[in-house]
Amino acid sequence: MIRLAFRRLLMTPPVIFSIVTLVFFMTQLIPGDQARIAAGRDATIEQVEAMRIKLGLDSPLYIQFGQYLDRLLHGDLGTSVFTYRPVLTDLADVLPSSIELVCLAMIINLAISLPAAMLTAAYRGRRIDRTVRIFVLFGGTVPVFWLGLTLQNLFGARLQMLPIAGQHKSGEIVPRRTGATTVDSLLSGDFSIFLDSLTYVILPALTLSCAFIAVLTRTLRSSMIGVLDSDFVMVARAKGASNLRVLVRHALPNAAIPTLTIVGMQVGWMLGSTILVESIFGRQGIGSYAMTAVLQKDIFAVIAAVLILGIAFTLLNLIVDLLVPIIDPRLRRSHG
Amino acid sequence: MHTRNLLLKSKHIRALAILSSCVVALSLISISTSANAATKQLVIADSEPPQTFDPVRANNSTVDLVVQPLYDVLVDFDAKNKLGGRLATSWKVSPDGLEISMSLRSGVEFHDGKTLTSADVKYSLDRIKKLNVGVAASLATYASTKIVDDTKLIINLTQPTATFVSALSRAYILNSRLVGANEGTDSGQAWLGNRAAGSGPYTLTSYTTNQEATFAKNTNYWRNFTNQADKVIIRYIPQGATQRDLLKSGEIDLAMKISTADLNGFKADSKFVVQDADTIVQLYIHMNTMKGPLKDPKVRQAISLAYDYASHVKNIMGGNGAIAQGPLPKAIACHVYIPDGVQNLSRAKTLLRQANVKNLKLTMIYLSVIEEHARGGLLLQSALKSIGVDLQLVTVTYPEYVSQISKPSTTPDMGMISAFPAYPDADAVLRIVYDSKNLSGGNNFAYSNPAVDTLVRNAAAISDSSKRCSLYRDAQRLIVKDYASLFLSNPKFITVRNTTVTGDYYRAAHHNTLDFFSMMLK
Repeated sequence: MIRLAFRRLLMTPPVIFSIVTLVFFMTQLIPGDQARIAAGRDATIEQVEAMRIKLGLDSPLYIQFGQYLDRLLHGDLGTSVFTYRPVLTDLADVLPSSIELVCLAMIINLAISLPAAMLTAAYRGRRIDRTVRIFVLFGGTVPVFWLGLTLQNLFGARLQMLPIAGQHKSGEIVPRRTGATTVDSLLSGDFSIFLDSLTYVILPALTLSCAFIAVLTRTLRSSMIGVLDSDFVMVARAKGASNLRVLVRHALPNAAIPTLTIVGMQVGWMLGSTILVESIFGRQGIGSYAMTAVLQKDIFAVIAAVLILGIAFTLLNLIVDLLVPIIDPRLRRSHG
Repeated sequence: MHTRNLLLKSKHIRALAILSSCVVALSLISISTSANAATKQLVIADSEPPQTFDPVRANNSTVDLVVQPLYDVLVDFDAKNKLGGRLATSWKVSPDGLEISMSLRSGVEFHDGKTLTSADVKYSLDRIKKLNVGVAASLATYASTKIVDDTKLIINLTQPTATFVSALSRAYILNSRLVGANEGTDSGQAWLGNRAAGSGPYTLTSYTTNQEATFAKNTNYWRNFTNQADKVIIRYIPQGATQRDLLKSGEIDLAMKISTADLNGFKADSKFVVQDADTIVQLYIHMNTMKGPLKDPKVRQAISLAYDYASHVKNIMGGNGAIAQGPLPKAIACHVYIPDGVQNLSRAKTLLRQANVKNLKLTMIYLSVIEEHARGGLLLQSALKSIGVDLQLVTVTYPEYVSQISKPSTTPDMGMISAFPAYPDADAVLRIVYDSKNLSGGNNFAYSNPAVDTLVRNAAAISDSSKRCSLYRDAQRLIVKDYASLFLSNPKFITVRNTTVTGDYYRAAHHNTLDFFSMMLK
């Protein structure tokens, strides 16, 4: 186990270096002049050139890259040419909100996918299987943009059950500790603000989770069908195990191993998919930050956002790789 | 099969299904939000958050919106585009145009209680010059400030600039002691990123990045409050449809981005008011006069005649604007009357024949993310098709647009773009868009006419307003004669509000922003 963890950790720096290198050079392909953006729309040619020198954009690209790597090694992600603040400060502001959204989206994802997969596997080919499949595939294929606006209109504007947009009530002050409103309200001991902020994240999380529910439900269903048809399940039944026990204790853990890998990757994908959801629901987050950065050719901000997502993805996969042998003793033995 | 039959009988599974449904349903049940219950609170929805709260970037409207209530300026334009004193009680330009003597209002206090003096004005203007970004573009001829006493000062310029006083309407005055103590290595840019150091009618209570900014009334403000809000909240809601729903549900009081399609619904609803105002914004399609088929004025004239200007205003803008009359927006002084553009396809075809042009293929870059631009592009494409011209529309972002037009060699045939003058003066449009000195700048689209250059440069240096106007009028006529651009539209600035909000809160000189001090609550 320890050897496996060590091997995986050793692989992480080269992966991150590759991400940084690739993104740095790819961002150079984004059209637009960074110096002009930083100087302002009506800046004179002299002002733009002065800004180019100030930002070091007059140096050859390989020197710019070297300088960037040097700063990165010292923990400096650069300064945004759009917000004029250190990128690290910007990310500290927006990232917790995305993590909050992704966490709830993943809870919804699991809360729906697990029972749905078990039901459809158990009732395969029956009406309930077909009905769930239609709902799940609808959720998976419907455009996020349309779904978000529809949920907003239905639950927010018409039924007035949930807030339409934002992260908490207008003017409500939540003392900032982590940057995630729900967590901060809990830490400040105000349960009413916690409940209130929780209502603000439900619709965005539901919108974000829909596409992922389809993938997880279908994957887990297929795995479970395979397990339910296996000999050891027959033996368990012959021994008098109840149906629920068969599903939960025997079928689910065996089917969950390939599914766990997908869940790990889904968290990373979700973080990268927050752009539209954050835009529709007026939430701050890494998705909307990255989108603005790309549109404004804010290179350091783009690299930092991709870097954060890359690190999150890598670490999540590492955690999954470590979890799988714990769940499956066969793999534990093979890894030594 | 046996397994399935066993499972079918299971009550546990049914219970599981019900349980999971309950989890989802419970997650949807919540406390309904209540609209702003606090007294005298005004909630506004804007679509784009500010990059920073540093006033040096107030050339950008998102920044201008949030710094306006926090700071004062020396001079400003009113709702009728008339320039008047704010902190400045009087000013006088020297005969050579190189000095501006100014007297300041006494007794003005910053939010921290310190008195605003000439030293703060000097600090603020020097900082703009030093940083050389944002509003510095309009104040490029600023040299220095000489402090005479606490309320008197002299601003020195490097060359006579008739528009300098107008440009001061975006030079917000900072608390020099407060910013000076937090300057760091970047002249306080990072520190001012989410803080305020001003003397304006409102203070900044809080800012949640990309989400909302909260302002509270500055009770020590030098102007008297009447029915203004005690607390103003700006919420950043990118989607127009979301703003519409928030307004209808009572969560916001005023929306700054409602799509044209939704406006009629609000107009018909007595609970809401659709308020519009004339702007100094203008939408153009510029043509490349330097190379390619559009070098021929006859071809440019044909393109101009092909466009359906009336349809643009009626169908694309929903009537919320007017056809532009010439290169200068109508609301700006010195505008010379140019008849509305009228579509004339047969004349356009004749001109193309005279120019001996066949199978013409053109490319236009445009910001299709903006609804008016997207539909305008299609309208032009369709019109040109009917005169035998094939127009390829190329979607670009604004940085990409600027990048392409920064060199004549990379400038395409045509480009659709709006001009947002920083202040209502002919110089802010004609010099920036049509002076060939700005060929590599952000606005000029490969247009160069030495006569126009001379006129706009001379006009910028004279202080006599009638002489200036005469030069600007001549320049406009020349630009029109050159068929350098299609002058499409002057949009109205539209906000939708509930009936509790009143006031004439739009200033063309600060387009896309609201003057909180002029917003009253019933």
